[in-house]
Amino acid sequence: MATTTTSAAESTETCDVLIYGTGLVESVVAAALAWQGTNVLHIDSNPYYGGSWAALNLDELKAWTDRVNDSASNNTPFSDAYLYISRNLDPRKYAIDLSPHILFTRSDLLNLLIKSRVSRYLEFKPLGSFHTFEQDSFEKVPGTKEDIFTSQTLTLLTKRSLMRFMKFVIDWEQNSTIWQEYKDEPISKFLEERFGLDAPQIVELVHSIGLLPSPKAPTELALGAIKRYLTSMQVYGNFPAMYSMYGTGGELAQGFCRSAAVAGAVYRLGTKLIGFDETTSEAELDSGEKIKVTEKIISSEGVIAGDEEMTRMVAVVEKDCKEWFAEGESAAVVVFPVDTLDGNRYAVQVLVMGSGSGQCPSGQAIWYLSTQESGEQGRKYLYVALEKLEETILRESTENFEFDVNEEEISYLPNGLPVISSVRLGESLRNFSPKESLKYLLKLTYSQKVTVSPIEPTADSKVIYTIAPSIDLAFEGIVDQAKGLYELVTGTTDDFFDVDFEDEDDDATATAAAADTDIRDVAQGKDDDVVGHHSDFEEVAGEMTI
Amino acid sequence: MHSVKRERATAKVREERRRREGGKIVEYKALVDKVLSSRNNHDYTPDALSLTTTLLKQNPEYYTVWNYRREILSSIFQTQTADTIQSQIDSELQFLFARLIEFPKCYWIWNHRKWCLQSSPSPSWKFELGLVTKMLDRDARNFHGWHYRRYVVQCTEKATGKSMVRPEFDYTTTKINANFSNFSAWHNRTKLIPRLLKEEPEIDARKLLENEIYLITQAIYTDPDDQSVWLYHRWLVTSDDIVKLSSDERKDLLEKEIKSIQELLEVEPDSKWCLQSLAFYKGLLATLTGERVESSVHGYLDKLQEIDPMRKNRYQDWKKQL
Repeated sequence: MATTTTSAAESTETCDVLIYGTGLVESVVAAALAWQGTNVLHIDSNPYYGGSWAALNLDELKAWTDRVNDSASNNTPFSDAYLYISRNLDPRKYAIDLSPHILFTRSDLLNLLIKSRVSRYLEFKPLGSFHTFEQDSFEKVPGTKEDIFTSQTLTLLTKRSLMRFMKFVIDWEQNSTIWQEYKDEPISKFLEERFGLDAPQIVELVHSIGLLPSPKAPTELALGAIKRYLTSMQVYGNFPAMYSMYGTGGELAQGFCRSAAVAGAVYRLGTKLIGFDETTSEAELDSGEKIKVTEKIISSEGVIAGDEEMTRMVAVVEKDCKEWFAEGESAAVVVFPVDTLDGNRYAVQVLVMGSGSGQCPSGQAIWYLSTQESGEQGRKYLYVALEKLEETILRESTENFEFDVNEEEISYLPNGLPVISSVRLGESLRNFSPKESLKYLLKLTYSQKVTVSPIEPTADSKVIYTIAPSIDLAFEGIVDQAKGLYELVTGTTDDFFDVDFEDEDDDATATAAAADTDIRDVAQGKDDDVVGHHSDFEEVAGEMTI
Repeated sequence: MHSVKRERATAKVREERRRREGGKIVEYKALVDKVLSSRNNHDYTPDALSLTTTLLKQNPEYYTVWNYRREILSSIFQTQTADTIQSQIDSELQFLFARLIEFPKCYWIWNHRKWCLQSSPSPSWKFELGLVTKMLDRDARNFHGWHYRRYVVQCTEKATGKSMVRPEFDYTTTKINANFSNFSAWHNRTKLIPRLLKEEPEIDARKLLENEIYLITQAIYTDPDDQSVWLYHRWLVTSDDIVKLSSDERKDLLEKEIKSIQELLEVEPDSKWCLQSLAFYKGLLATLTGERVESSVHGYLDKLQEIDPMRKNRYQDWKKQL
């Protein structure tokens, strides 16, 4: 705990590490440091946890938009926010995720969540629907041997090629002779030349399984991304990823902050860091207090030099979108590959969150769109993707979709399954005009700076800067970044979360089993309506303030 | 579990384990002595039953003790009414259920369950089907489960007088779609198809054969290393229990499948099962046509000796017989 001198008027507190900003990476570091006995003071200028990773209710979102557009004082990675909110929405029934991410079941971050017991503060749901936008419709990607076996559209030789590639990619690091010469070449080239895969399979592997922005992504990087998806299948069930309810990154950050608080870290929201004197090692807060920092300051606010800019869009629609979800699930990923939206050179990734995610009321859904393209171009492609999404959901949710088919247009697969000529099907789909139109309850577009190369701290300074959330739809590199920061403070990563967590419950086995069950609840996919979740945590936050 | 290696313990760990288990072994041996002498004394009391319960919980593989348990139960049943017997059997079934969860592959547990049902005044086959379905959900490749399922289905059919061929056939389809690497599911299919064709004469047997070949070809191409799908393929191609093919029709079928497998071999030149199947089918074709076996078969068997050196002699032997 931070110590206080007896004088009431001019009390100077001391801490070992001052962390400014409660984003995900800093929160992991806060918990890691706190559990190792470091005196941590963790503050955030916002009245909520999560920083750039937070999920905001509508009132917070409006305030955020104003702040972000005030270029003079904006020190977030966000800019150029345009917000429309329909009237009569209950602001507390929404949790708009500023930087949504999904969690693969085989990932460092999930392992850390379980190890640190932070997973117990969270509720996870499965995500097994990954679609690629191909020929005006969403195709579900085959991600397992069973999917490939039962597919009615892949040819025999394609099935073989795909399986051969999947077998290789599970163990790709061990087989460098196969990919070494393609290391920095585009993944599409590698897949075509080395495995004889065709364009449709390459598109699906690159975009929906690898979640890569384009088929030009370098092979070494791409193989890692594809392996991540495939090895994540069947860990907990027939899905490779999951997400936390009520918001993704922000909820995880809150979880780690709670853990840090249990370990003795002190928390203050709504508190700005306005200056730091390197000679006296004193930090000044906007309350006028001075904090002596013995070790380091970790800051996520201030100078964030992003290398690149991505564009994001959020749309809340008055449709439950259940046609896109697998049974028992409440979310889906849709990817618009390169060149499917009038010449887009980067994919547009969409995360569809149904009401079961706790982010919006029942009967509605939130569409999170993002692309690596920046500025006007970026927004243009997001709008085109939005139109396609609208068309598709209206078509798929219409009950009276009819068109006439002649006998000649039907052919039969050897097993008796009738198939309609896809050309003819495409025509009918294109000629379909929905009778209803889609109601948008909220639309938000904004830009986000992303850091591709980490910022090196200067040798003499006590201040270390973290980096902004990445472009990836999946949490990637969080644990590595946190470890990096941890090492800058303590000089090692050996004792990073190397803790024997004591519980009020029984011994380690019981609690380990309980942790497993929490995650296993994922498979059940409970469907709750959202209730203002912030209130739950504000209670705890109240206990945490000095 | 399939293909899960046991860990090799270090000498230190083994020593620790030996010390810990030493006491348990003495206890266990004493219990065994008690049970066996109890049996020698023809002790068929409820106390004796409890003794066997304790022992079987620790070691369900000791089949002699299951035999003894049945002797005790039979003796007890002699003096009881049907209702009492039923409730005794019901608690026996509950006891077995817990054992099955722990030891799903122990012959004697399944066996004893069968005996219980046979001794039961009113067995619930519906419950048993549900039980075996749950067990197969946990491990679809447990052949004990499949064998027991066939027994339950047979008894149900006898009790209700209605055939279950169609739903059971569909059940194998469901299991195969979930994971086609399943010897038991395919095997069950080979048992069900002939019955299905007999009971539903409106089914076009040739169409069914065509569909099955389509299905198994998908599996072969998806995973040519899986043995179970090749076994099923062989049954489809050679069996007389689906369609009585004429010699010419059989030849056509063989040629078609040979072509299909040859295409697969082109993209998977080191596939053991492709080579073996081609050698076998081409040999079979030669027998039917009366011609000499193709020279390519010698090539296949040579390649097999290369890639499967453990069975070198078998392939050499095969070559000699051509």
